[in-house]
Amino acid sequence: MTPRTSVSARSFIIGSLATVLTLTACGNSTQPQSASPTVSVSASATATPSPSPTAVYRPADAKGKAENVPVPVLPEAAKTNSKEGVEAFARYWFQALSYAYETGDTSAIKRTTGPNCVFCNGLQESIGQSWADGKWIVGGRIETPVVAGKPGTGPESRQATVQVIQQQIEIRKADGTLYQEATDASNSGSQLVATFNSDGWMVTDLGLIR
Amino acid sequence: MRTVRDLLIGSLVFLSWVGSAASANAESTEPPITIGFRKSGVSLGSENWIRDPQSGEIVRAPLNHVSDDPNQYKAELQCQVDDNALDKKCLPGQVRCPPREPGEKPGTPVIWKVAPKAVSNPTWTDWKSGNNGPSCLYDQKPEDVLPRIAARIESDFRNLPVKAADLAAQPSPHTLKGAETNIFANAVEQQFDVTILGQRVHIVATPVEYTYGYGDGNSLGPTPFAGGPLPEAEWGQKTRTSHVYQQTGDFQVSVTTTFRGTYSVNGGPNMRIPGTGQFASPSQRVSVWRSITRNYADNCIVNPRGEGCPGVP
Repeated sequence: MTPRTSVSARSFIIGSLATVLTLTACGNSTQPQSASPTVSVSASATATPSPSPTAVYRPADAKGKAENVPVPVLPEAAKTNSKEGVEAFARYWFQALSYAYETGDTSAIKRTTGPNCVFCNGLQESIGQSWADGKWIVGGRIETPVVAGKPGTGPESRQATVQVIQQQIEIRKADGTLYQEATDASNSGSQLVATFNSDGWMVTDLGLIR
Repeated sequence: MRTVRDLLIGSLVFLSWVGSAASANAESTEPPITIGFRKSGVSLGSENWIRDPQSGEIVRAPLNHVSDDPNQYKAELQCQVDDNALDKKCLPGQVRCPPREPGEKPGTPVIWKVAPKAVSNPTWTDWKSGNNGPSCLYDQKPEDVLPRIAARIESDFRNLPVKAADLAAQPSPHTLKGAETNIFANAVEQQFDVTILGQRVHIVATPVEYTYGYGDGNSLGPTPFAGGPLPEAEWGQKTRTSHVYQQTGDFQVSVTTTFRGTYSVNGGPNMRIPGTGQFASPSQRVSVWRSITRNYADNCIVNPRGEGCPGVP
């Protein structure tokens, strides 16, 4: 009986912590969040015209855009032509996509995407539409808990299977009202094809695994 | 002239705006945006990928690939603290499952989880139910009622009173030897609400393939094509499901429709039923006749004793 009691107690504590975190997030608290300790002020200045002096990440809500969204940095590991390299690049690319949803800035994914990726271009287009005319996106953050490079492919083209989990998306109009009904959160499998050249990796194709 | 045309265009725009505003969002004056990773991928019709059943590799889907549900689901008991032990004292504030009928026992709340099938060791996220309400299981041993349903759902599905396709032929009931006879099926999606092991199970049966027997030893399929009716002026044209009889006589035409199914337990996600169900339609008789065409130089006034004229054997 003792082990089970301790498990219940632990679950309860975790539950309480989660509640506290949720509350601070909802209340637009200025407390720093442990998830974003490495915000670069110079980099975020390109994304948001007036970063707050403390440069604390604040997700978007019905009142305003996200602030000080951490700018994804291409890791060294993503600069090699290997299975590990394409995995690191895929993780980076989806961070850049997540950044585009949260900020409307698609320049990082544009830089690392080839012209013939239909899905990639469609994603950029819809993000552009969602940020036009003073609109902004609430939610839309992407996480990729599983990234698995396909072994044995290459040398110039490699593939990775990526689990893409995205938060619910609301598009808010300039006056803060909803532009349309929110898009549900999603959890999907996708396949990314990238080619490696002197400039590094570039996404050449992307599709959902159906 | 130009003003009139502009005015007309203006009116058209206004009309379409009224239409979309009424259906979608009373405030919106702009078209809906397809936003989100999965939604964009589905709507763009970007090339899809599948897990190859033979090699297990992720490969490009063939052109004729019919998308199945890419997700897998599981239900977690809300009061579960580890895989084996059930804590009867659940945390306060959780969803309650009141008895469905007075005098019955209350149910056990469950949280449905979803993850993509194609990803190994995926992260599971909460599945969002249509009504956002609780999902409940009503059983003495709620932890294994879903596996028990999963084990029998395939045979339960095959025994459902699924209405088989309506079968028709053009021309009918008489057709001609050597001509294209258009034979087609009409099957519809059907929904069933049944009780399995005390749970309310909603089943959707969808026709996916057809196997035609033409009654003269020839058959077609299984094919995804149900075929369809032709306007009378086009009878005799070849269609995807038409057949040419080489003999005269009466033939029994038949079609067997293959249905796929999904099932949902007590409002949970629609899960694929393994396998398929075959449902045969009653056969239809087609009489195949021959036609003979002869040309004559005279009519019956010029040559009253000619072949085919009245009174001539």
